[in-house]
Amino acid sequence: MKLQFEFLTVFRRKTGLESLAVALSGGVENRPTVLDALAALQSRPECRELKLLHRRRVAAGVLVFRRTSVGALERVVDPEGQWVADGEVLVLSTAMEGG
Amino acid sequence: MSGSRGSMRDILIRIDLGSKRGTTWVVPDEMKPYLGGMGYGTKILADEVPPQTDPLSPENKLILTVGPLTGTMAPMQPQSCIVTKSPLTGTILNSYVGGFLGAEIRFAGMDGLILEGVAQDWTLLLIEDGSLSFHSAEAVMGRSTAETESFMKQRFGPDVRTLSIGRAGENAVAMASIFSETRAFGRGGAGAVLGSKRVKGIAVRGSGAVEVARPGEFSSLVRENMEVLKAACAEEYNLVGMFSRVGTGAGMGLVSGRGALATRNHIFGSFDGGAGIDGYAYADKFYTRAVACYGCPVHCGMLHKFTRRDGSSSWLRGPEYETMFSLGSDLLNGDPVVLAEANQICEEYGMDTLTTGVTVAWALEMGESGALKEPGLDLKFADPDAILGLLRKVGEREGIGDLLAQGPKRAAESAGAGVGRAMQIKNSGFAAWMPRRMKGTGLAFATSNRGACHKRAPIGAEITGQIDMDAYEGKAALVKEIQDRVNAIFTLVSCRFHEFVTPQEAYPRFVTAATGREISLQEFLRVGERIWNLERLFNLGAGLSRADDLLPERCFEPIRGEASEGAVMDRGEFERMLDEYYQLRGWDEAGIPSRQKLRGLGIPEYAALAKR
Repeated sequence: MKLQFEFLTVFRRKTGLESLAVALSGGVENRPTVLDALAALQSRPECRELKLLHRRRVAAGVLVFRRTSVGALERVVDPEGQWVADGEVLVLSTAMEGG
Repeated sequence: MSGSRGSMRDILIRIDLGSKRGTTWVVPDEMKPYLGGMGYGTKILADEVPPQTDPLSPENKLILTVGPLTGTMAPMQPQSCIVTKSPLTGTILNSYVGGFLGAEIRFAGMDGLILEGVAQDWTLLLIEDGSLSFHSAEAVMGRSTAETESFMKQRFGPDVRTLSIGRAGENAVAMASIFSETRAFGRGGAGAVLGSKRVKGIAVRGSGAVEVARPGEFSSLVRENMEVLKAACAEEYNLVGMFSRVGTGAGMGLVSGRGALATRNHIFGSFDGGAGIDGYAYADKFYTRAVACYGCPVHCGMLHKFTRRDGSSSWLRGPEYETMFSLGSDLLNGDPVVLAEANQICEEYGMDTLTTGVTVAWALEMGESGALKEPGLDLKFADPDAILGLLRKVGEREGIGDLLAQGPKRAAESAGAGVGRAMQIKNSGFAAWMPRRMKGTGLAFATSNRGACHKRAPIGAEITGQIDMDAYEGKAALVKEIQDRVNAIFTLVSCRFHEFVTPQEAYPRFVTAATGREISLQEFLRVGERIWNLERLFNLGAGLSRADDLLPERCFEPIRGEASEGAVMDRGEFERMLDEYYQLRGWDEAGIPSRQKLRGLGIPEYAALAKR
């Protein structure tokens, strides 16, 4: 399946990209989680410096959102337990923007 | 080890400006449960200034205080606090400044000062350790805050720490602020109160030390807290760590993406130009240097060297995040130079960037609708000449500026136009956040004792999605909890960012080690609730009511734009939240604290304050 990642400020600055498409497969019963998707993203050469994961968990301060059909951002509160679907858009941010 | 006297000196200098006399006022025992800072200020104002006092009359008082940790080695404790009756809101006001003034007040051997009456002539005050002297301010009348402070440093010595007002304070602009070396007591119009007393500036010099009651215990706490702060600063994506690297305005992307970045006078919830005016944009375009307040390892202040539109070169500390909204997105201003100049005009005149920007946003909308006109200015959003021109006119109270200088609500009422489009609570301009998207923050704005306060709101939890920002359930309890907790922390005059990484249990431990006074976390938080209720009683006595805890009409109309299209505050749900909030506070449906609640908080004698 294919996912689109969008980067907000600090991630955009670190990667020099606004977004990146990532292909992934696997996961439990072939249903990857958001954490699997982040691991796939992290393995991309453009994203190796992002340090998104720490000991197989999402690194402190990294926030993941889904972009909904109306364009809104919805927080993924449990990246290890929530699945991703083909074509989904995930947005990476930190608490910085607005604190 | 014990035996030291503790950090609080229990001395305030009471200054009668009319007779040019200063007296030492020993803090009475009944005030000590208020701990210091805003607690002291609130109790003094409630005890000594009748709620219906005209804020700009000699009967109003301005109380400048510090807290038990100010000037000690505890990190992130640089601030000082002003409490007075606000000319902007008509409520009790507490306002804060960082920098170095707080520590210097403590070094001068006092916990603060109380300004009373009015000086016969415009005055500069010099406080050196125990002595007070009065000096003519004639040479700096009409001068900017920076020029006034520079004059005081030349006159009294480069080592004094200062505060000052600009022309806005001289001209009784309702949102005039007091500056202290580029930082500001921003909210609520304290600058106009100082101006009404004919005090243009104050310089403080102290040579004393600050003792703590239990040095060993205190040092351990400082070390422990420093480790937490150092770890936070070193973390890649920690909020405070990012403040340390890029300041408070590192990015507007998430707020805009969540549809909560107030744009074009709160009509839209996202701003395409946000990336052009955030902290990264300033760091990329301008030479940037980080500056810290006293005893702060975070150094969130960002100094920028920029070139003005006329080609001249200048420095500015900021803009901070909130200003990126009020003089940026809310005005549809995506030009970092225009934003820097707008920020600088507010600093020069001594004006709160938030309420001033919100008032200008209202004026631009009224200008575009044809309800407001000003010769020589084309009142349109995103127009640099209109934005900068209006700001100067507010500071000078010239032309339409005289109308806007009253603050957003009063300006709209005077103009008879767009009252529901003035984005304010109690006439204090909204901070950067949109109640229609963030329901708890909406309730916090509405019920704020000083009006639309962002320092006591669930902003982080809502914007990051830690809790559902659109939900109404559970928000009343959350808002009450934050208001009480932050009020308690502000008795220490602790920097708001300190609490982002410091567990609340640390605060009573710090108080005990610094002052020798044993206090539990429960009692510490009760101090915050007690002060909140005392403020409420004062405001009721000043004539405020439930009607002043309501949101402006625009909040009940849908937001426009991507990401938040159609988001709205439901009026019925808002009223239900407000009812629940009053109930949780132990207040009746009119928002009046019950006698039982006041007894429980140990302040039954203040019930009469609410009676007009």
